Order: sequence, then C-alpha cells, then structure tokens
Amino acid sequence: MGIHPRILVIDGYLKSSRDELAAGGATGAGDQYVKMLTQACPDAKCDVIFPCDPGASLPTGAALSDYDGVAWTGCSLTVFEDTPEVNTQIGFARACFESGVPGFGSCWAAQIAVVAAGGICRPNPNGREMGIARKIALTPEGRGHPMYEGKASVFDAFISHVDEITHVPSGSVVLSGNNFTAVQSVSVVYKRGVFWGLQYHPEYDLREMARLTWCRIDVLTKLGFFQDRQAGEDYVAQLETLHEDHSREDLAWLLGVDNDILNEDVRRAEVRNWIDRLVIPTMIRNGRV
Amino acid sequence: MSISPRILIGEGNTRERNEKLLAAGARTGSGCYQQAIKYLFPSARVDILMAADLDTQMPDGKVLDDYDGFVLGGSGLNLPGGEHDPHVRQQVELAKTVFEAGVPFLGSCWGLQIAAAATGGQVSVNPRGRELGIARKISLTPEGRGSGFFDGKVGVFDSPAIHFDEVTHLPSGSTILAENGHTSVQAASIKHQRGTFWGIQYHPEFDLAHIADLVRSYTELLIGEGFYKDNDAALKHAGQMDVLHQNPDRQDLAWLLGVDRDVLDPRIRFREIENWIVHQVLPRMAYRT
Repeated sequence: MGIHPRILVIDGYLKSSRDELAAGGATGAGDQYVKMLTQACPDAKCDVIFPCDPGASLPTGAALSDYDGVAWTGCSLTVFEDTPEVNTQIGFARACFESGVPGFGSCWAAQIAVVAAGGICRPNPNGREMGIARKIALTPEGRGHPMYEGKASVFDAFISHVDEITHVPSGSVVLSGNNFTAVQSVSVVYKRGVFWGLQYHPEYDLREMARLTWCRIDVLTKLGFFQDRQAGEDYVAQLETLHEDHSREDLAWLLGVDNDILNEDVRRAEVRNWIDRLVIPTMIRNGRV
Repeated sequence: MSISPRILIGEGNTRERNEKLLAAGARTGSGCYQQAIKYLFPSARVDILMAADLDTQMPDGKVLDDYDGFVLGGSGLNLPGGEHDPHVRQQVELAKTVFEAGVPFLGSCWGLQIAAAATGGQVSVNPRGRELGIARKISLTPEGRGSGFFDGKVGVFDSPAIHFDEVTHLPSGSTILAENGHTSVQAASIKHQRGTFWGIQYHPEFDLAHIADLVRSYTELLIGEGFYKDNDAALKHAGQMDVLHQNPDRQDLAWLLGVDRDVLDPRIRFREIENWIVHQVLPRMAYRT
C-alpha cells in the first residue's frame, strides 16, 4: 500500500516573472516544488495553482481540507507592499492556518506565513543574500525540532532574497539563523495550523541556481556580486559544470560547497521530515491512509 | 601605556623549507605569527626559535622561563610516519619542556598536534583528506563557547587552514573547544603538568596572501590531490586571493571565494591569538614583574 498524500503547491510568482525565468532556462518554481515533493514521497499527488494569475481560483475552506499539506514556493514579490497579488496570498495563508492543513515553504513563503500570523518583514540591512547562505546554525529549539531530524547543526543552503523576517508572531519559534539573516527558518503555529518556513531554498539545485543567477546577471553586477557580465557568465558555467559532474571536487572546493549543497538527501531533509511528521499524521487523522 | 609581553615563537619548518618559502617571496609560518602578534600588541618583544633545526639554540642565550608565552605554528612535517624523525622528536621534547616550565603555550595546526603528542594524545592522517584554504563552518562546543579563548567570536565561523593530519585522541585534562565537518578537533585546551595549552587546528595567523603563496608553492601536490584541475586553475585562484587580500572591499571576489569578515578582518581572525595573550600571557607577565 503506497502513501498518497494530496499536496497543494502554491506558485506565488507573477506570470511575467515566470515567463522571464522560463526564457532564461529556469524551471518554474511550482514545478521545482512538485519535483522535490515527489522525490521525498513518490506517490504524492500535487496540484499547482498560481494565485497571482487573473481569475485564479483558490480552493475554498472546505476544498482546502481535501489536502494533506500546502507547499509554497518563493516569489519575487515584496511581502510588505500593499498590492492585490500580495494581499490575496496573505489572505490565503490565513485560510490555510484556519483550515489546519500543515504548510511548508521557502523564502517568500516563510515571510507570507509570518505576516499572515501577525509578524513583520523588512528589507535586510545587509542587502541581498545570494547563491549560498553560509554557516546557518540551528538554535537550541531548531536542534530539537522535528524538521531538522538528521540534519547537521550547522549547514549551508541555496538562497536568494533581499527581505527578511524581523519579528515573528507569538506562538512562533525561530529554528535557525546565520550572520546575514537572523531568521533562516521558523515554525509558525497559528489558529489551527502549523507552517514550517525556510528563508533558504531546498528545492533549488546547482542548475536552477545557475539559471536564476543567469537571469539576474546584470542586476547582480550592479549590486557588486560580479565585476562584469563575463565574471557572471563564468560563475554560472562553473555551477552548471559541477551540476553535470559531481565528481569535480576541484570545482566544489573552489565554490566552497560541500554535501550540504551537493547531496539531495542532506539538502532536503526538512522536506522529508515535513511529510513524515506533519503531512502523514494529517492523512491519518483525516482517515486517508 | 605600551604592553610588552615577551613571546617566543617556535618555527616548525626546517631551514631548507623556510629558505624555499623566502626565496619565493613568501613568509615563514613564524613570520606570519610575528606579524599577527605585532599587529595586536605593537610593543610585544618577540623572538623566534628555529625549533625544527637540529643545531638550533635559544635566542641570545635566553631560557624558556624568560618568556611570558610560547607559540608553535605550522610545519610541513608530519607526526604520522615521522615519529623517529629527529626534526619531529626535537619539537615533541620542546613541547614537554614548555609544559614542565608552565609557560603559557599556544599552538596552531602542527603546534596543536605536537602538544597533543607530547602529552599522550594521538595524531593520525585525516581520512577526509587535506583541509585546504578555508576551514568552513567551525562550530564552538559549549565548552568552547565558554572558554576565554573565543571571547568575542561568534558560535560558527571560518578561518584559514591547511593540514593533512588531525588530532584523534587527546590526553585526560583536555577539552575539545571547536569542530567542523572535516575535522573533529578544530580547537582544544590541554592542561598538563604545570602548563596550560590552547590550540587550534586552523591558522588564524595566515592571511589570504599566505594561502596563495602556499598554493603556488605546493601546486603540483595540490593538483595531484584534486584541488585544482591544472596549473592555470591554481594560479588563477591564488591570484584571486592575492587581489582580495590587497583589496578587502572587492565584494565580488569575497562572494566568489565564499569568504567574509571571519577571514578578511584581522581583528576577527586574530581574536584567538589576542585572547590567548590577554588571558594567559599578560597575567604571567604581571606575576613576573
């Protein structure tokens, strides 16, 4: 008997942003999430929705409870801007908390969950954190948290963000942080729901990081990450070469990455734990196993 | 008021090796330490003892007891397989003398290994291979967090490193203060006879320019060990480290090389050396005068 959780994937990107990333060879955020979830749980059934699209229909409260989990992607919107696309997603996050369906998400998703539950996000005074978030350290609470079972206490992860969580709502627990970003992961407990949010991106791999970087080379050069376009192209090529051939230990060493980044089982321990510790228990409680 | 501790630095390399380094325009290990100590305490009175040379003599006919502290840094020698090498034996005996005299003792890399071997510990080849360039994600143990050795350091940090062997067994009376995924003993304290030793497996006394010099000096060996694809890759990487050392504000290079203030800011990088002088050397100086 297989385990067939139903997971709703929210791809928070605007259509225009999705098109831009697709043109640069990047996989859509929702598709990356489906790939990650089905890798962790091969029989998971995932539905992807795009809340920013005109006429997008989000499941109502009753329909939400047909799902065993809600997984949110990152996105290039800004959570503290008062726009219809942002407000729709905050409202939907509240509906998820009310429904009690467990949530998981990266970057924007963690910020949305925090704001929906009464917390605050602001621009990170350290600027953009890009590429590899280094030296993420679990808090004592994170070390004891089920999301980090089997994870080392200090690790690196893929990242790309300019905003950060500055205030978590009461009932939330900060699980990890690094020197750049004080809140790298958080567990938000609100109303009937639980949401595990990461500021970093376990769904990325080196290829996706390379494509995202390629799409942003000019912006990143302006921000000082690359001296010129050629330096950016060279960096992207290094990421892609290492992605194609993990035996290139010389490149891994030059880029300063190890198994935290290269080994999917290590990189995605949080996702597997979310399915085991929150999604499957929800299925059982709903009589779906 | 100028503070003038008297510190003896042991040079762990033999004359032949040092002549090669100097001829290539590089500094010796003891030269790096001297520079670091003078940066922190410009009035420190520093002497160098050629600890590996068999015809060595104490500077100006002084005895160990004339000093407020003794430092032993890196060496190209190896304890595993080198147990009967007189250049190695001599340094183990010297370390025993330092413990007997109760002179505050600081060691990095080889210095830590020699102190462990002199007090009944063991050193073996690291099964993960050479740790080169930057030791990443060094994490303080609770004992390290509480030790004065790490005052002002964050709980997780990077530091320059180059080593092939590691301490596997410490004598009783020792405490492990830091670790990372590559090396279980990144820092330790050893209490033995009248002495207290503080040691680190990494090299806070090295800067990026010295790592670059070592890369150029050991290029063939490092290509053989898989760190570089070819000579060009090694020279390019060494060149990048030199440029960043000269221009620490080159954020693009810092980001590409994956280094931050832990490595680039000498006030942070030298903190263990500073703490050793403050907590171990200065009190001895006060009691002597």
